[in-house]
Amino acid sequence: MKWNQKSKRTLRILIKNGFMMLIMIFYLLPFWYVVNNAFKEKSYISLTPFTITPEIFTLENIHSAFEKMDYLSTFLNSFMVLILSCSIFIIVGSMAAYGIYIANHKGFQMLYVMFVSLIAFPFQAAMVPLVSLLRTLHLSDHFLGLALIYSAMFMPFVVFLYSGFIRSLPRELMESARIDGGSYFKIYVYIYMPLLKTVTGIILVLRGVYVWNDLQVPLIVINDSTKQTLQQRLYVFAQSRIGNFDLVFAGALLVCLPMVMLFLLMQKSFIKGVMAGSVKG
Amino acid sequence: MLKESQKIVPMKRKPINPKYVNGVLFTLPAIILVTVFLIVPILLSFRYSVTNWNGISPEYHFVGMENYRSVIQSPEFKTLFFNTFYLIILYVPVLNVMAIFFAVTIYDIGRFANFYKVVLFLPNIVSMVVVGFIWRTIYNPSTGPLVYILEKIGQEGWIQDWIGQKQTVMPALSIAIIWFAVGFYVLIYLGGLSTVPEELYEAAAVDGINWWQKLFYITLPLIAQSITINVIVSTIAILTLFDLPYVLTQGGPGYASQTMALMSYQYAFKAMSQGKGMAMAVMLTLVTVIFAIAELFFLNKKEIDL
Repeated sequence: MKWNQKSKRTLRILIKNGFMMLIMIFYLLPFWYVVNNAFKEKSYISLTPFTITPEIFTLENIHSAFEKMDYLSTFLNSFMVLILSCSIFIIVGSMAAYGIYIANHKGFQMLYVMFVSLIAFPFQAAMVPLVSLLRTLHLSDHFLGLALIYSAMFMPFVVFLYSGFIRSLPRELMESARIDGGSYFKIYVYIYMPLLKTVTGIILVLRGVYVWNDLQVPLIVINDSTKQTLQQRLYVFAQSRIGNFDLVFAGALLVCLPMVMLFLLMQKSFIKGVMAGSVKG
Repeated sequence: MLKESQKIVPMKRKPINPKYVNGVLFTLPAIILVTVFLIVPILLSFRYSVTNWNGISPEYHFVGMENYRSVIQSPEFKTLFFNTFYLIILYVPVLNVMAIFFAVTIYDIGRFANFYKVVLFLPNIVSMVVVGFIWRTIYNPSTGPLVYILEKIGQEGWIQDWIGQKQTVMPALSIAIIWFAVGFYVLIYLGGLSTVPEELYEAAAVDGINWWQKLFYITLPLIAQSITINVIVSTIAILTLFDLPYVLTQGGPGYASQTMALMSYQYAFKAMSQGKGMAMAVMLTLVTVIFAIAELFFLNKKEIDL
């Protein structure tokens, strides 16, 4: 009886794993298709799409895509946008949540509700006036313009997450810090920000990936081709070479590589971040 | 500011509590940022959508509902309307059911759980642009890998121009979007599942309930909150989704896979009719907000019932 129970359980786990492995093929095959074809001469792609041998292996595509996409400077553009955006929405957002928390007043609660209800508004609602606003501020074709758009767009979500975590901290913390004579600013920097490290991590994972991978905002803000981000460059590059699969795959591989490596290195924190963001949110 | 007011009216007014002053100072940057780069542009979209403003010139006139009328009367509007509801009514339930199914399967699968999570989440990491190009080559009817596989298994009859013909483009697009998105929702459901106390399952196992009973009477009611969040988040996400359909189909062939988000971009930045673009964006906003509120209301009621 007992053995029977146990073997039934093992069988169930086996079936589950078998099923998930089938799903994995559905996921990994497209990736493998891109990766292995990035290292092949074009004529072999339709002949042997899923296999690669040392005889047909070449780095020519990668090399050529790297040069044609001006990879290094485009990478730096994306990196600048990422750093600027993350700094702005982390600092401004955490400050706002902290301000709402310390005031602890009905009016500020209203402000919080207003922030959060903005989550439901799509970016497209602000898109056209934003472009002309950036032009007036001389911020179109400027990384700061992109960063400000992203920061404003994410602010409702960032304030929401920070507020949720701050409220879970005991109020006595603030009271005793005040009695010890700390200014509100010092308490924010030295007590609350370190305590909110986890949220900061979650937000960086969730929104950092978004900024890095986004196409729509650069598409409407950046016209100067030397200021393009990686995704935008890949889009333009691949769109004009849609028949040259070898180059498109090599370009796609180059563009994904930094974020995929970061993800595989820190997979535990990424996955925990996404999961925790939902439970607490 | 605090000191000034004390100087001007000494002893008469109570000094403002420093926590309010600091509250204002700390929230001010966010208020300015959101006002300038989000609220005002949204309000301007509403206002300009009833004018003939072209995005550049300072001169414009009130034209009433003209932009809305030309959007609604355009030949593509019917398809657009159909596609929007196709995505919400088909995609949101299918996506969520699949995500719950994967999450429940992975939850107590043992050793390989992490591998499955990583692979399912991988499309989110490689960006919609890359995923769009991957699926564009997969669907390629002459040299694509899908054609290669179908030929190998002797099913040449199934080969079609999946994203090039009107009847198949929406299902083809939906498959690509679900392939991209499901991992994210699986992780959120797994987050919800991790809050379900283990003892409940143990007690249920003693009572000898089967897998379906366990799912419907224990798991689903307890992750009701995650379901609410995911349904609303996925509705907003699908309505505003831009990158993936833009790379994969550009709304084509013709207008067959056009969505409101794509269309507002194309009106405003490709056809250069900002008025129509903003009218479309306003309609998209209304649809999004209405759906989000309706779902929140409906699911909240469900949550209480359970």
